Amino acid sequence: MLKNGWKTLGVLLVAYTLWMTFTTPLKPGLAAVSPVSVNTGANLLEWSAYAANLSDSTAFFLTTGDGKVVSRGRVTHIDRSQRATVLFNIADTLPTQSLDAVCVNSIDGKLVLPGAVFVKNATTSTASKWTDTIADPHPEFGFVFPYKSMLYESIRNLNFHVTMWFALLFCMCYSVFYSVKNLGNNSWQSDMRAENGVAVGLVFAFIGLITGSIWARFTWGAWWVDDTKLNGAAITVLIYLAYVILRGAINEEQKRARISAVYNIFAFVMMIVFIQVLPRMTDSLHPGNGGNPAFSQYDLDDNLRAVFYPAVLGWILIGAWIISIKNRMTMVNRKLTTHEE
Amino acid sequence: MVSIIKLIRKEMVLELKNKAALGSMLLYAVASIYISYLCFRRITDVPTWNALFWIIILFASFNVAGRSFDKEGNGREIYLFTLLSPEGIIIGKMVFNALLMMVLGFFSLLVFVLLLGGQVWQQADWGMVSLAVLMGGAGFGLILTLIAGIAFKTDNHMGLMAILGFPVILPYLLTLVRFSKNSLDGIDWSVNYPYFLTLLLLDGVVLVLGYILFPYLWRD
Repeated sequence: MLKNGWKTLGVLLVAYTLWMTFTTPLKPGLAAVSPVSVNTGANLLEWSAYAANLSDSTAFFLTTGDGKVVSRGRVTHIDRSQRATVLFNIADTLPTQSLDAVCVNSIDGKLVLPGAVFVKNATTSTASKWTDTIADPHPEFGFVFPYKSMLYESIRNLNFHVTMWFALLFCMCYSVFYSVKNLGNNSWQSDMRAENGVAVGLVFAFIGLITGSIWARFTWGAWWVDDTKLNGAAITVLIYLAYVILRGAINEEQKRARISAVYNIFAFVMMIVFIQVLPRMTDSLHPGNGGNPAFSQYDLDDNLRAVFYPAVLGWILIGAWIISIKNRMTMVNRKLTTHEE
Repeated sequence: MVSIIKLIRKEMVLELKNKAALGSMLLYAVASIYISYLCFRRITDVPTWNALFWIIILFASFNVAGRSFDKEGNGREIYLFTLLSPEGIIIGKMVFNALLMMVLGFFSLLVFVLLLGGQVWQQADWGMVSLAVLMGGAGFGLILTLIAGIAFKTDNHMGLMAILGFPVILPYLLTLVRFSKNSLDGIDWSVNYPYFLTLLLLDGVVLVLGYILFPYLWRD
């Protein structure tokens, strides 16, 4: 029982991930304010929120980037707690032309949409006439996922898409470890492990590509975009497909084991250098690069972490389990066909 | 060290002796550039010019590197094996191929400018472009020699060469294309040098890996 405990743990973690990913609600947030571009003077702005509780007690503001209130709105109409029509009087002289939209109430707390409104004909002045700031009431939300514009509900995909690459990385390392071992001891068991690691890794890679592609279509508008991380993924898949073909091209078992091990190690090292170095030098659409909405250390929030890290471990354990089953299958097959031992 | 230099010399003599092989390499480059010329006439757009140039060099390099182990036919392989360490052989071949690709690179550059036009060179930094061609030759030579060593052990080695080589050379190619495009745009060295360092790093990694891994390929 204890010996197979890690398999149970893997299943439990994945089950936990699936349950949490699909049942956790999203935090409220501001989706859009229209029109985006306005003139000074009186303006009627249409606010739309997501999972919010807009009501008559909600206060609407336009603020500068550093939170100084420029105009306070007067609510004219609220529709089903998610849409509000608000009247704003915008002064002729403003600290900046680009304003953030902020609304506050006691249930949702402070919702901010940065750079929501652009005031076309305002003159800018740095005079510190605007000093009021808005306090966040910090209401208790319970367990919720963060709201990110662009991502919305698809933020849950983090637990499936990103974790696939961690599982793939595990399979790659497993495979390379046994390739190195194979060069040392020439045993068919090491070769088998290296091969099965690649086979399982490829499955994770394809799932990662599919989940990523759907996510990209939703957030960036295309099934495939030019991006260093996507190039890295594509190269990984190509390398391992080439590895499979190389194995198919050599008949002699010992030779196949050795040569494919050499290729595996070579390709792996090139890959690691590539994915470690190049994304640091170029912008990427992926979070944390080039000013995108990021899951980087400051805003991968704790609730998301509480599901994401177990998900990573869970998928890795499942991957290890599949590899171990494949290894046993290969060994049984070999015994049946060659009558060894 | 001495044996490596002797090996490089041996490769050079073999290459120069085999006029057909050397000629076929240059002809391959000229022919593909001429085909591009017929298709494009003049290219005034820097990214296109740059991309096409490197694609042609890449394919030519695959051709040249693909036969770098063919020369060791007729039992010469066994003779070398008894005489030298595999580490020496691979380093010798890698360095020779790198030098050969650099020559190929500069030759192609000349033909390319002659046929497809030099308008894109208005802002170019000549020194940096030359450096890009040198680095391109070095990287293609080093990486593809090791890949050729792997592919040579299979039955269908020209076909596998491409399948094994493309994914491995892609990181190098992507970095190189960016470095070279920046050089053509005349972007300052202080902005461009990280790409150069990456290329240098990848070259170093390939040399070390070749040194470590090739003995396992050679042992037969």
